[in-house]
Amino acid sequence: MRLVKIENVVKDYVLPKKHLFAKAPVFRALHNINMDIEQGDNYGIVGESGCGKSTLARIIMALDKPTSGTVFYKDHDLFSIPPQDLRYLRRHFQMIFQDPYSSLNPRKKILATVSEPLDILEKNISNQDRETMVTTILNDVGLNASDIDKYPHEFSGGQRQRIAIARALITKPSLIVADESVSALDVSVQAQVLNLMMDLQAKYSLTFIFISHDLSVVEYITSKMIVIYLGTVVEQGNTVDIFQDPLHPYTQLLLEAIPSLDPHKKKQTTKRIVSAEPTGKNGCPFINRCYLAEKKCRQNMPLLIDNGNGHKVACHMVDR
Amino acid sequence: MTLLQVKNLGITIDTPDGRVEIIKKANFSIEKNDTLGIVGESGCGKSITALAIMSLLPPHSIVSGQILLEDQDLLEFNEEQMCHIRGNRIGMIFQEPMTALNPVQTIGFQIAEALKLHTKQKKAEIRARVTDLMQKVGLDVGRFPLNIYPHQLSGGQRQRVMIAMMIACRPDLLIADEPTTALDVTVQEQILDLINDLARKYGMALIMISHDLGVIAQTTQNVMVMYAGRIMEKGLTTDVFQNMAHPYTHGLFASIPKPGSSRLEAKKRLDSIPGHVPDLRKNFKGCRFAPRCFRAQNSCRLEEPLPIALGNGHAVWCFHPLVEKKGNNAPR
Repeated sequence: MRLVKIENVVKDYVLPKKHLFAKAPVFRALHNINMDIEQGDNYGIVGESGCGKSTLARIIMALDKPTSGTVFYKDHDLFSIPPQDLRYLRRHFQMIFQDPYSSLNPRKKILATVSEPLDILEKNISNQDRETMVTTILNDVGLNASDIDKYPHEFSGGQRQRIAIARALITKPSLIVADESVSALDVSVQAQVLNLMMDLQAKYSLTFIFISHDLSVVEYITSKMIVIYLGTVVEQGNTVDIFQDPLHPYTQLLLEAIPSLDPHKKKQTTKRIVSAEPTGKNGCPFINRCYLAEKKCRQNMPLLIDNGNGHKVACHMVDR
Repeated sequence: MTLLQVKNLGITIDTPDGRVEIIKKANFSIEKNDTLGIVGESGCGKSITALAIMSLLPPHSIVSGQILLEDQDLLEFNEEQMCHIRGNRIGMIFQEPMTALNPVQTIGFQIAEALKLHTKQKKAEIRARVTDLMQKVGLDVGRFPLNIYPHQLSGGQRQRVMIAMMIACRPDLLIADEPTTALDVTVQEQILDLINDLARKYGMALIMISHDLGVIAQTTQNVMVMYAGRIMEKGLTTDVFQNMAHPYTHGLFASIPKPGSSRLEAKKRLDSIPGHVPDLRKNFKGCRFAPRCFRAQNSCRLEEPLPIALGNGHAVWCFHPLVEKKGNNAPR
């Protein structure tokens, strides 16, 4: 079943004017993004910092309005329904942030932090029911019921991330957007949190949108993914296909850049070029760093074309 | 030749909750032109060890043992003497290039600072040298003039500026404390290549501190695994990574999702290490890893293990190591 459909999403930011009478320059953060997220299929969003990953997450969460295009949650167009309906729908999609230190209010007890979404979305719950709901969720994420009276500083980074997950789960959502949610954690704790997310996914039939720069985590947890470069989709498809046969030179570059765990296998840095030549207005955005670039790449933007099995790539140089 | 030798290093810090022994009896050395990796999770004492070498520990810390740079004990040096060592003979690159650089000084000024302090070159000479250093770290002076400020640069470019500052006086030892943690993978690759190339070219020894096992595997010859202020395992990187003897090292590896995980039919759970890094303020008895260890026995909770030599400099601090002797995997 289709859970979320992202349709032709474009996001422009208006930059400050150079001088009073100048036309304000526009920065296009996202070009025409299309995604179909099926229930239960985790979706990965990959790219370097500044490529628009988080902007896309904010749009999916309806925290930002796209310049054009829209997002459907089930059959509801998030940007054309009345605000009170959107507010009601918000319980179905929640977000977990990167830094568990700054995403929890240090002055609020865990009970207040975890139940906050309930206080806003479901006002007719008795205090006792609220507390029971919070303790159940805390148990599910591996914390104790006695933790409700503690403050965030009494917990370690991994435990705080569990609290953030509990807060996202309290409204029984079907979609959770995890924006770099395990990047700040140590590897052993990261593994615990990833295992927890997989367990909760089975228990609550959740779907995760997983934003990360760590490709091995994305490979592990997602079944579909999208690779973004400077706001443009360069490759999209099943995670297995992309990791087994990365078609776009940028995806290849990202995969090769992961340092290998085998000390004998020192990597060979080939194919790395960075040219200072400006990207043409119409050309491929990746042209400056591409080892395959040719004249036609400079003249027009490659389209995202299906290469079979839903594996789409935007590159002129891929053999089809 | 041994460049730096750390003997019986102990660091104790006064905290409101009493004295905390952060590092106990750390012994390691690094040869000229050698690379040493220090790996472990946060709070295990990696950075504190590096700060001890630079003599940059917080005030009121009590340091015991010896840190020998060639024949001189750095722990006996006063602040003025240390100023001749820092930046001149030992350079350090920090994790956050934004906080490590001064936001109100130009990058040219900051790179020149070490040269002004440690050499007696003339202004014009220093300027030429700074320009040269910028080229060496891959910042074209045409695009990045010396009078720009750190905020005008990206994270990777700032880290390049840091590296230029640190190699200005061609130190004998370069300490890189998580130099690429804040950077994207592609930029990480470039910065690691740059650090490695420069270390080789100038004959600098390198201490690479990281929690990323891949970074350590790709950049170091020797490695030291630390946990809760203790060295758990050390040896040649190839030995430690391929014949890991300590259950903690094993746990670190098992926690990482392996490449190719998407091809598996059913998703396997990651073998995480249960529990979390201990609070060093509490009293400990026995092996520090015992509470989280899958091989721990009662004896592990009574005494701290002594090192067991596994041959070829590979040593492990464990009563029940996973490898008994070299090339001989113990049954699990």
